[in-house]
Amino acid sequence: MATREAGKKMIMLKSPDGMEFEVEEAVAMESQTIRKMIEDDCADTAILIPNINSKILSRVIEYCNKHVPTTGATGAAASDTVAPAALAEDLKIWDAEFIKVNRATRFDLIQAASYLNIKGLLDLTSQTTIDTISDNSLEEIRSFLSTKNDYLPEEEQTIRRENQWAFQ
Amino acid sequence: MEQRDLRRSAAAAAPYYPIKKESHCFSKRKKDHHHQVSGGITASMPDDVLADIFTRLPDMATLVRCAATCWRWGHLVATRAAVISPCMPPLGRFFPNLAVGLFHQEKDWPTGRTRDAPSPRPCFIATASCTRFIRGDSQRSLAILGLDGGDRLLDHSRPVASRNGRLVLELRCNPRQDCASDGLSLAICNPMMLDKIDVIPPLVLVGQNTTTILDYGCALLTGHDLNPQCHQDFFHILLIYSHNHPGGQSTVLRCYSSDTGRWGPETESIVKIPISKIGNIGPAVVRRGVAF
Repeated sequence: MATREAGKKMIMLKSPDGMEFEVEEAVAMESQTIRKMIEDDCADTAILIPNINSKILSRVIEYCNKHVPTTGATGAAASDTVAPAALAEDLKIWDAEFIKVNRATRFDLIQAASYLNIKGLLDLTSQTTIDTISDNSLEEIRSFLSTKNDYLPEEEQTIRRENQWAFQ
Repeated sequence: MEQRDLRRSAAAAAPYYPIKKESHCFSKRKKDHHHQVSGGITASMPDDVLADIFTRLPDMATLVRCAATCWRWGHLVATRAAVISPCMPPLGRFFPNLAVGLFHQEKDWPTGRTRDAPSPRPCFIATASCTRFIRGDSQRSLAILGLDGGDRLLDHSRPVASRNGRLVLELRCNPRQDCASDGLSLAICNPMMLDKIDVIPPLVLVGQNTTTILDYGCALLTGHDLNPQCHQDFFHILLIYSHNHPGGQSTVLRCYSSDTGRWGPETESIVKIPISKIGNIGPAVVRRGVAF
């Protein structure tokens, strides 16, 4: 709370492709990984985020920005005053809109959320993926993942035979 | 090509799990481009991230289908099973498609009138799905009725554990006798092979108060569990029960080995299970030589 009132401390996040994003410290601290860096004083003014390109990083920041007032350090107080149910409903709609991305982007987001340890984003992206996978047949899952069946025919046979109940 | 062959031979043994020479296989596999791209769109995802997604799957059936999509996913599900499985909802105590049959017993315990009635022993009833495996031989599986050659050894016995075709029965043939001197009598047999019944030496506890084990959990480990290549007649019976002793009550583990033909010493468990819960321990699951 103190930092926000005292002119919002800013943090610079750098993606490996050279883009720089200036975000509020509170927003960046939505990521437990970055929070730890800041708390351990490992972070200077700029933090390099490896493995996450600028396109994905900007989406992640977008998410954190939206979610910071409700889940940030000051979250409990804020959501008590602003009708929490309405706010949550609003966020849900926003999340649903946010996650309407192609599969590749979604998997990149999962990876980023996991690396940066942003629980809300990880839950959202994983759940969306799982909703797509569940109740689908093996072939549908394969086509969703655009993965090739690299089991040897006899291997797949064994798996199907041993787990017949899961393929019914 | 050599790498491919290695993979083939290792994988033929177990589709989702390189059982032998694990590190060797992994180092070879890593170089194998074929497997680096396995997983399609998720190929670049670290194992931890994927495993985390698997823990969120709604049920076991979806997990199995995921494991069957490609080599990498299957391998991941197999190696992280300890983390993923507890997150799945339980399958329920009864899984109709996997059950091969059930044991049925007319009377649990003899009463004065029915004590001499015929066949107060468990009989096995095969389900429809089981007849697929035993191919019309279902009559033989019922042969447990005649296993003891008429000396009524198995009367009132109760099935307590089974594994790889072997069945452990608790013998309760002499309910009238003083139980304290009898201890817990178990017998093991293979109903399908119609071989003889091995009676395990009764387990008698030395203690002040209770000398019988009324509630216990039982698991059977067979030679095949400990070494898949071994088809010996060797087995272990694991028991878990509560032992009252002057110092109080403790949960103990005990093992009978067919090698020594004796019950091993009591080993006190670190985890203490209340006596009321021990009787409710379900059948054990044995995986790669470890009973759960």
